[in-house]
Amino acid sequence: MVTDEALMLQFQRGSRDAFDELFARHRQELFGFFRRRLANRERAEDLAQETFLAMIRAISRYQPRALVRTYLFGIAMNLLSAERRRERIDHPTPGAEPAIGASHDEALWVREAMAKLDDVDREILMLREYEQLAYAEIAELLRLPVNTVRSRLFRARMALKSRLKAEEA
Amino acid sequence: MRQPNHPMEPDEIMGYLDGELSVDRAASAAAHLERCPECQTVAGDLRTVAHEMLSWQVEETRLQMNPALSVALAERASRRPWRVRPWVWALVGATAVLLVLAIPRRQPPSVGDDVRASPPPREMRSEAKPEEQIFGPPQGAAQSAGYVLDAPLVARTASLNLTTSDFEHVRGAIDDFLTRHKGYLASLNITAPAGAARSLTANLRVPAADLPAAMSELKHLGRVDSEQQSGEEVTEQYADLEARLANARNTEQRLTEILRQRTGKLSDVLDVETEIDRVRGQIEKMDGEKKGLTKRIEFSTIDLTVTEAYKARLDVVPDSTFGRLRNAAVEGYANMIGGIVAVGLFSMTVGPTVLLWTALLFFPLRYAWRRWRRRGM
Repeated sequence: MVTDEALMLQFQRGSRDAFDELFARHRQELFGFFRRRLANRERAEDLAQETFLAMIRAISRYQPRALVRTYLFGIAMNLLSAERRRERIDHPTPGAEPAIGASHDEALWVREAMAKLDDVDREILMLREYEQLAYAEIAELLRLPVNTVRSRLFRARMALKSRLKAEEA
Repeated sequence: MRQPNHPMEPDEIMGYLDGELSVDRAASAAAHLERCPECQTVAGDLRTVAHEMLSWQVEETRLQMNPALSVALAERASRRPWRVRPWVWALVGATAVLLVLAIPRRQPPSVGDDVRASPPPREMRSEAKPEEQIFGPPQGAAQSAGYVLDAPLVARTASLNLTTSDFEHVRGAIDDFLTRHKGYLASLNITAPAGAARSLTANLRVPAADLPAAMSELKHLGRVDSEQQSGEEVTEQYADLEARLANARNTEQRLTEILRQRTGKLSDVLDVETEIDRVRGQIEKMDGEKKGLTKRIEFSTIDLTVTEAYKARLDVVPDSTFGRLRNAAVEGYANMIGGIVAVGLFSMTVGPTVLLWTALLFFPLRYAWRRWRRRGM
């Protein structure tokens, strides 16, 4: 199987097939990234598309220094920040993350518990658990020291655990 | 509460479970975890949290590339820069300079050159298929043409003015000529005024390669009064047109592909359809231009004018006496009316000027006359 990085280099040289393969491989995880962080499914899909669009526009400058999925999540993180800024301007009411605040399925407690976490802790936890990024990759994305990522991740997990125990009690 | 000299921090246990520790440190953590109930509790908690978090799954997406993405890909494909190392450019440049110096330059024929002295236009990939028709170009000739741009493309035109004493046969001779040369007649005009020479003006199109022979043959129709030939080089025009046409076709193909995938909003689809219509219009227009240009290259234009050598005819049949009298009366009446009108016109035209000068000169002349008479007395 051709690696993502090799596909990126092929796409950089003009291979449309390489892009199609990358799109097929990463569309679900990018959609999941936005879907867990935004209330609107359509907007999540739009942003996933925009991530690929940004990738196309920046492909001439791509250098295989990191995993492609890390590279894509980096773009996604920037788009998410911009989206949140827009949301804050359009809907200035303070509150939890839209998707996390939603309450209509079996993972309700997880989302509610995560909504109560500190923003950065929650982001670290989600990047680790759902996007399966390494500590170093999370540190690079969030521009934090690796040790900080590890300690905050531990803190977030323990907070979730105590809330789970409270829920069970 | 953790013991003070605990060899392993809890976040290190987490790092071990996440596979983030180095090999040595991971071995230590595994050994420690086996014998430390406190760390086993931490590990259990972490596993529980991870397990619980997995209950939040997002639905599968049927995400397909939207038009914006496809357009961006198409644009990237069309303007993908060549990433060539500088030394390659240097090598290419040096080779180009050598080629320019080594290959003798071919001068394209300019307007006014004698086309007969130059070689026929160029090899075509497909030969023009002759048709046995007089009006209209041979079908399929221009449409199928495609050129290898290794020699100049020239559109030739010629004009020939002849005078003939055998005007009756000119029309038929032109038809025979066109049939023989697989040419066609673009336009024809014959005038035959009473009491003057008849003339024929025709716009003939003959295969470019036949032009010298065709001109020689046409000269046999009469005496040559004037002849002119010229050639217009259209190589650049043709190459540019072909390139633009190819680009437009590629764009249309990509847009059609986008439309086929049509996963975006309705407005996006409509935008793509509008763009396809616009590009199609451009393609048809350029196609028409290309066919016209190809026709000009393949078929030379000859503007032929044949004038009859006029001989005044003598009417030997006399008119009747009554007719002559009537004509004389009519002529006399016409002359009378004409004379009256002429006098009136003259008076109106010259009268004011005469009156003016008379008024101006009358008194000085009369004074001069009187003085002259007094001196004489």
